[in-house]
Amino acid sequence: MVLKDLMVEIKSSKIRREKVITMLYADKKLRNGIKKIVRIDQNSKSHFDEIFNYTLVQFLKNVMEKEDLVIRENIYSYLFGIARNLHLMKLRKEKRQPQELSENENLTQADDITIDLKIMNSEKKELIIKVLTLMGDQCKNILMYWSSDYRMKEIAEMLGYKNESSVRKKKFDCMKKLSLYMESHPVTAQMLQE
Amino acid sequence: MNAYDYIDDYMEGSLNGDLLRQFESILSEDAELQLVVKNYKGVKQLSSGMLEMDLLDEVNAAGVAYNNVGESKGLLKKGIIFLVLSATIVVACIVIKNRFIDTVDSNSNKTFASLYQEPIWPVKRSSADTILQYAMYEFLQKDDIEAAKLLLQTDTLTDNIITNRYWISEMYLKKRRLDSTALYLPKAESMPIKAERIKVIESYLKEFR
Repeated sequence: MVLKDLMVEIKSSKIRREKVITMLYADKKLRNGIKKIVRIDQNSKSHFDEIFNYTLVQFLKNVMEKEDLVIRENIYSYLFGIARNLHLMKLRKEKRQPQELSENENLTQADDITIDLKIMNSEKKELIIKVLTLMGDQCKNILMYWSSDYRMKEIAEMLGYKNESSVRKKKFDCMKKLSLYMESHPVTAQMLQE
Repeated sequence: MNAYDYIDDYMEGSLNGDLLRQFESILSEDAELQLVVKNYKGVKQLSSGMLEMDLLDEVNAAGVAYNNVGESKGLLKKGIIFLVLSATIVVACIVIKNRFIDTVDSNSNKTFASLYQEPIWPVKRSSADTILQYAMYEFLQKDDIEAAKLLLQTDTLTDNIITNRYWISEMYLKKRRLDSTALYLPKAESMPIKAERIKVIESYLKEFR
């Protein structure tokens, strides 16, 4: 599949996105490439799984949130760049020695690829899970597409609302709900700004 | 105006002119709008986090499906390998049996068959050995060796005992039941008239038993 089509599929709907994820998950070239990046320091399967999964999440998120996303080379180079940065980030978090890191060949950070996954921080992840249990599915879906800069018309079509005005109203209610939660949990608001 | 329609534009700084003035006017009086504007960035961050969680769930689900397929493929592969190995072993056994054991058997059969010569069966003789004739009839015509043997064993005349044992032995030899042949075969010196034949039978036994 051409990269442009792939990005359209990811943005279009949950079902189509899931098909792309299934396809990427079974892509041997992608799996082997990320294995090469990861195995340099650790061989454990769980480490590979974590990096592989977060690589896909970061890629999907970038496609969904960044309307102006440009992938200059091919998709593999881009995904390997994400994986490399994730791997380095994890190594640093585990406080591995810089000398140890520099010994690893080809393990230079891909500068143009930012890792900004909140769920990689366990505290933030816990907080998000807590909030998710408070919000209904409707709120969750509207807010997550809104945060990805989807137009109200698109959200209405994707989630089956009559019109964009209904989505706007629902979105405001959901924002109010979350705002109230944050007001009563000021530490939460602070943590998210960090 | 519906102020909540313009929150994003206001927060992005793209609202101006009359719309901006109207929005700010409502904002100054609407506590709910103030609350949402105040927490706008945090709400957006949390919403983005919810998207990440949703994507992670989708990716994890794909991972579980991928691993299940991998496992079942692995099991299928192992199953196929097991079946192929089993089939190979069975075929190898059959081939060995056919090529080796059966060859030995058939060779020995052939050799025995080629060496074995039937005696002149006492089918019609005198009226004095009626039991022997009956026995031979049972054996040769009805192929009932047990009935023939029983008849011969009922003949308790001392003179006939060795002769009858000899014929029982011959019957077993024809059937290639060599242990039974050996059991009933009299010694050559005890039956001089059949001494040569008894020696031949003994040589069969030595060769094939």
